Amino acid sequence: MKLITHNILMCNKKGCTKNNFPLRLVVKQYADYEADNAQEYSANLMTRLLEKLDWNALKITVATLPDWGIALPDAVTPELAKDEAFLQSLHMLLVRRQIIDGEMVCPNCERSYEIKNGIANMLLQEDEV
Amino acid sequence: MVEALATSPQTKKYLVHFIKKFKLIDFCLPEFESLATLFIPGALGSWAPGRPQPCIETLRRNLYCQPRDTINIAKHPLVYANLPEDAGVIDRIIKRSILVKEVVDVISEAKTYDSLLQSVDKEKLFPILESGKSFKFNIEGIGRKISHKEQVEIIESFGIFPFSKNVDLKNPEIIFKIIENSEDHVIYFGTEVASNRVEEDTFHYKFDLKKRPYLGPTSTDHQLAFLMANQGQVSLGDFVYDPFVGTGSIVLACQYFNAFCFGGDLDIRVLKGYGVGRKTHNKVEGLEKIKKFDIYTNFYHYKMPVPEFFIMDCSNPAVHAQASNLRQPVFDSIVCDPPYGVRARSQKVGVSETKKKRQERKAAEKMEASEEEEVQDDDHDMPHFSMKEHYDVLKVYDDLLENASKILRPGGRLVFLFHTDTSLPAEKNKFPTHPAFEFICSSENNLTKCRARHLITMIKRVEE
Repeated sequence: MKLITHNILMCNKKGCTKNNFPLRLVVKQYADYEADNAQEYSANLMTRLLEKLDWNALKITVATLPDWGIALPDAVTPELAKDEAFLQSLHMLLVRRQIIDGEMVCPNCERSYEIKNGIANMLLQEDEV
Repeated sequence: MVEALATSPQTKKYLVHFIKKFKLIDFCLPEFESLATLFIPGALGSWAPGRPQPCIETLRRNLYCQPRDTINIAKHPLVYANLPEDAGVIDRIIKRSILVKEVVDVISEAKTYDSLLQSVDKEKLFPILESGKSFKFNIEGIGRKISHKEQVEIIESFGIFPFSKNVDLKNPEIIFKIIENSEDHVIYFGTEVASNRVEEDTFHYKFDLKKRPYLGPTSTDHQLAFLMANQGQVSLGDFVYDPFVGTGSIVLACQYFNAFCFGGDLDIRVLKGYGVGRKTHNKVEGLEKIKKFDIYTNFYHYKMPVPEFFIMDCSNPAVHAQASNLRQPVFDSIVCDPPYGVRARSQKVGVSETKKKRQERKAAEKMEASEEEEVQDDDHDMPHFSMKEHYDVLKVYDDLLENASKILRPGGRLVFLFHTDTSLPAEKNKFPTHPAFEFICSSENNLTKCRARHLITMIKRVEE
């Protein structure tokens, strides 16, 4: 699971409608895709991606992963959106890196969603729907 | 709107030659229209940036040189269309198309070869001949094979051509094309602008199901999957979602166009790669080197970006409709083949011991995972298929449209397959609708005498 997926997932448990995004990410294992198996870097690709991102959610999440050693700026300024080095590092973080093992915990109801083999399980139990 | 028209490239009348593939005849025009709007926005008088509501009727009126309902691909797979006078744009359409064979700039059209020559557009032809460019002839019969001898006779009848000096059969600068349709005896003569002639050369050939290491029982045929991606106008950097990803055939086609693809499925086994999908029985290069067969296998095999997969119930998706107030819903298109009772049922005939065990396990999983009527159908005997099942299948579509309306951006495309059965009452075969979506087109693919599947394309409405 890549961070871009984390960036669009929320807790969907019955009654949990507020403060259910972003989910608190716990990473137990991660790896980077080989270049062949991830979208190739291009400025166009990154521009499209930046349009889609909830930057604040991404920034908060990355800040909770201190061992990754990445600090993101508060906002993507127009200058930064054209900065090749910045976009390259963002590509590594968002397109190449995947979380293989871990979990996502709802900040509101504490429901945990497991990530196994790089696949997040967002399925709810019968009594949670 | 006015501005967009003013800056749009000049259009010209070209002949579009479609591949006459019996099963896919109904897909030709929708695919062509979808690619035309993808690559030439604004040029056709609608769909311009800033224009809120796409108008498919205007597009069709401007695109074709004849009323669309008079086009009959089965009889005459050649259609005059207004396209930009830009070989690059036409080439992009052709290279991505599954069903457009070529685009020809016509010099003359006639009922016989004699009148074909007499009626040539001299202003078009003479500058080409005088340019001294190398050329060759390419003759094709639709509905009949034109023998080599006959081809030579036809070419020789074009005596005004400088055959003595400028012919180049390998790398000609110009290909003169003669297409004879024996169905209605119309012959066209012109120059080829772009073509997709040999199937082995097309981008989709290597994705044939026979060339894939990992398959499922209902893996979508590669041509249909790419047609679906084209209906969805999947492009670089798009966010594309398939909520019924299964073994990933549709998402594979979408991934080819460098989108960010997301595949969800309720069935954990599918994603883990056991129970449903299997190793192919065909000879596939490098098959013996693959150790594990799962949903990732094909992507690694083709050296493609791996899509994102998650386990999710389509009727209750955990995808954020709108994460912040600043951005609109993230998905540009949803492309999928929802589970359909008929297919699940047909799989069940002659249950083997291993399958029975598999079903028991499925039932156990079902207890945990709740609802999703589709899987329950699997576990019942034939007589249990009744009103309920059909109601449930339609419910799947209702949920799909409702959820798509929340997570698709305005102008985003919803593309899905819908099954009909004419032996059932008409109301069971009605296409699903939703106030948030505008119906664009449907293409019919007959499966049996009374059953068919339809590829339906809808666009999320833009608030005026």
